[in-house]
Amino acid sequence: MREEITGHCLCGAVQIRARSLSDEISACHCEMCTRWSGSVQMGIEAHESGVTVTGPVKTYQSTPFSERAWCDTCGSALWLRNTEGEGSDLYEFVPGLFENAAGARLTRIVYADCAPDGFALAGPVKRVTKAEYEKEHDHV
Amino acid sequence: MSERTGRCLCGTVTITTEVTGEIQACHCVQCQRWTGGGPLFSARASNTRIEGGDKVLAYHASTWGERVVCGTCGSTLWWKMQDRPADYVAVGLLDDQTGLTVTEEIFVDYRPGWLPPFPGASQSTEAEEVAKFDAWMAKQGKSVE
Repeated sequence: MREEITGHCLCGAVQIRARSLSDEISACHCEMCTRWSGSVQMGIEAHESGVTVTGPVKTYQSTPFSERAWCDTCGSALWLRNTEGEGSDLYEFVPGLFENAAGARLTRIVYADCAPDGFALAGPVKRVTKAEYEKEHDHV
Repeated sequence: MSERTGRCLCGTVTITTEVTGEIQACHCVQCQRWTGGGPLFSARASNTRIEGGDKVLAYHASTWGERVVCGTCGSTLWWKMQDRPADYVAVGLLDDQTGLTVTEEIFVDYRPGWLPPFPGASQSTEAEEVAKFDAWMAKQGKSVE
C-alpha cells in the first residue's frame, strides 16, 4: 500500500485522493479506448475503498458493465471502471491526473496487436493480444 | 492528403476530414492532464466537416486555445485555436489510422519517463514552441496574455 496520492483534472474542478494507487500503468488499444482517449487509453488501478472524488464528474456507460468518466468543466478524462462483476471495486485512473503519473511505470499493453501503425509504445512491457485478453476476460 | 471519416465513442460527433499523414505528439502538462494519458496524439487535418458539433464540451485552458470533448461520452476530440477551425483531430477518432506516422513531438521537456522518443520524429522544447507561438501571434497582430 502506498501513501495517499492526490490528483486533479486540468482545470482543478475535480480533485482525487487515492490511498491504494498501483505503481503500474496499463495501456489499451481496443477500439473503444482508442475512440474515447483519442489515441491510447492508460490506467492506474486503485481500490475504491481508499478513493475520494469531489467535483463535477460526468460518466458515460460505454458497455453494460463499464463506465468512463470525465470532468464536466474541462473535459479531462478521469477513469474507466467496471460497474458490475470482475474489477468493479477498482478505479482505473488516467495517469495524467497525477504529477509524474504518480511515479507509476508502463508495464502492460493490452490489445497490443490492435495498435495503430503510426505510433508504438516501446520498451520491455508485457504485451497481450486481443484474443488473449478476451479469452481471459469472458465478459468482454 | 487523404480523406478520412471518424467518430467519437458514442457516435454523437462524426467528422470527415483530410489528413496529411502527420501525427503530432504534445507532451505539455495541460495535454497530459486533459487526455489523462499524455501525450495528445493529433493528426494534422484540414477541411474538417463536423456533425454533432453543437453537442461538444469546449474548455479554454488559456486565452487562445480550446480543448474539445464530446459532451455525451467525453471522448477527446481536438485542441484548436479559439477563433480558428481545428488544424488537428485526435487520431483515435479516425476510422482508419493506416499511413499515419508520428513526425513531430513538442514540449518534449515534459515527456514522461516511461515514454521514449518516437524514431524519426522532430523534437521541440517548450522554449522553442513558445518562441514559435509568440512569432505567430505577433504576425496575427495579437499579443499573448
